[in-house]
This record gives sequence, structure tokens and C-alpha cells, in this order.
Amino acid sequence: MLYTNTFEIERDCLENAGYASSEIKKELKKRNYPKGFIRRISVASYEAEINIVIHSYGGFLYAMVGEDYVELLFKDSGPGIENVELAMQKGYSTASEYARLNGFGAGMGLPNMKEASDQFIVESNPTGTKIVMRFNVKEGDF
Amino acid sequence: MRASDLMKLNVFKNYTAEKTLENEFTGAYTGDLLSMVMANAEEDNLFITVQNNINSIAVSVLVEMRIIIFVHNLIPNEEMIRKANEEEICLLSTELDAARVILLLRENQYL
Repeated sequence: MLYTNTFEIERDCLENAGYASSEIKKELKKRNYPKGFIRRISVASYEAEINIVIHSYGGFLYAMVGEDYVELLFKDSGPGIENVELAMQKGYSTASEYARLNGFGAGMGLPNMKEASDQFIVESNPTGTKIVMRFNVKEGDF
Repeated sequence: MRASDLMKLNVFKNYTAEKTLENEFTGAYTGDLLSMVMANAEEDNLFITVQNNINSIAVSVLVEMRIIIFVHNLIPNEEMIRKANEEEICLLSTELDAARVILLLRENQYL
């Protein structure tokens, strides 16, 4: 493990939304990971971070950076995803009016995360949602 | 091509520090759903949007786009300008709509 960090993600705070993802990106850039690798992590991380902001009571990101992989764990304190299967469908969104007015709510968050990562796990119940994503450096990342 | 070249077309107004006019662009991406922008825009693209809020700037930082054009006369607020200057991103506004911006840039061979 080369680097780990925990970032708190506040609910409803759109002004700072993306801060954690931006810090992860800076760290990866500093350590010279391939561009494509950094990009798909940025996309997935941003989607997960925004979801915590607009859909949850708040949560955190725990990031682990290894030599040729990155693992991101997002956890929040509820209220949970009512129907994960539906939520995984492209275009399906439960975003509020406020979120939509700010450009969110396309309903692509979870599908984009799954596509961008190499391993994707989502577990959810009313006490909270947990998302784990693993990214391995691949040939196409260069 | 740089933001300063865009200014020569006389349809844009700049809201960030003078030095951001040195920012370069290659190609363009127009979009207003930020998930789509995150997934599809390319580094150094000119970002053309109606999303006149701080999240456009956050997305631009993550994708590494250095110039944002707000169309339909949408104007960035103080908070956005402060953040953009911090991140050295150029914010421009124009009366034109996205399609006309693209056509104009194409006509002038900027794209």
C-alpha cells in the first residue's frame, strides 16, 4: 500500500462536491499513474461522491492506492437504495429537483461506476450504502 | 488555440483573470448533464454548457478542460469566478447558443 486516505463527504454540500475525487486525482497524478487509469478512477469516484451528496445523509470515501491498483470504498449512513437493480439501469434516477437543477440526475452514476471499474460491489440497506470499486492498471490505460 | 484567440471573435466576454486567456483548447464538448460530460469529454476540450454553477468547474478540473463557455448569456457568479481563478480555468460567456458557437469556431478553423 503506497497511500491511503479518508475523506468525509457532506450531504447536500454541492459547493464542495467533487473535492475528495479531486484530491485522489492529484495524488495519482503526482505518482505518475497512466492517464486513462486516472480518468476512469476520477469518473467513478466523482459519481460515487456526488451520489453521497445528493442521495444520502452523508458518508465517507476510504481510498487505498497500491503499486498497480486503486481501491475505493464509499460508505454512507442511509437511507439506502430502495431498488438496486432499478438504480443500475441507465437513465433511472431518483435525484431531487435541486440535484437536477445543478446538472445531476442523468441516472448514469451507478452504470458509469460499474463500467469504469474492474470490480464493482454495491450493498445497500436503510442503515447505509456501501460501494467498493477496484481499478487495476491495464494496457488500455496508457 | 487559446482563449485569447476566442476573444478575437468578439462574441465572448471573459470573467476570469487575464492570464487564463492563455489557456489552450483542442476540440470541444457541449453538454449539460454532468455525468455525460465526465464520461465523454476529453482533456483540453473547450467545454460549452448551460450549467452555470460550480459543479461545471469541478467537472472541468477532473476532466482537465481549461476553458468553459456559458451560452445564452449565462453569467458566472462570484463564487464560480473565485473557484475558476483558483483552478486557473477560463470562464467565458456569450449570447450565442452552443450550435452557433461550434459553427462559428468551425468557420474560423478553430475546430
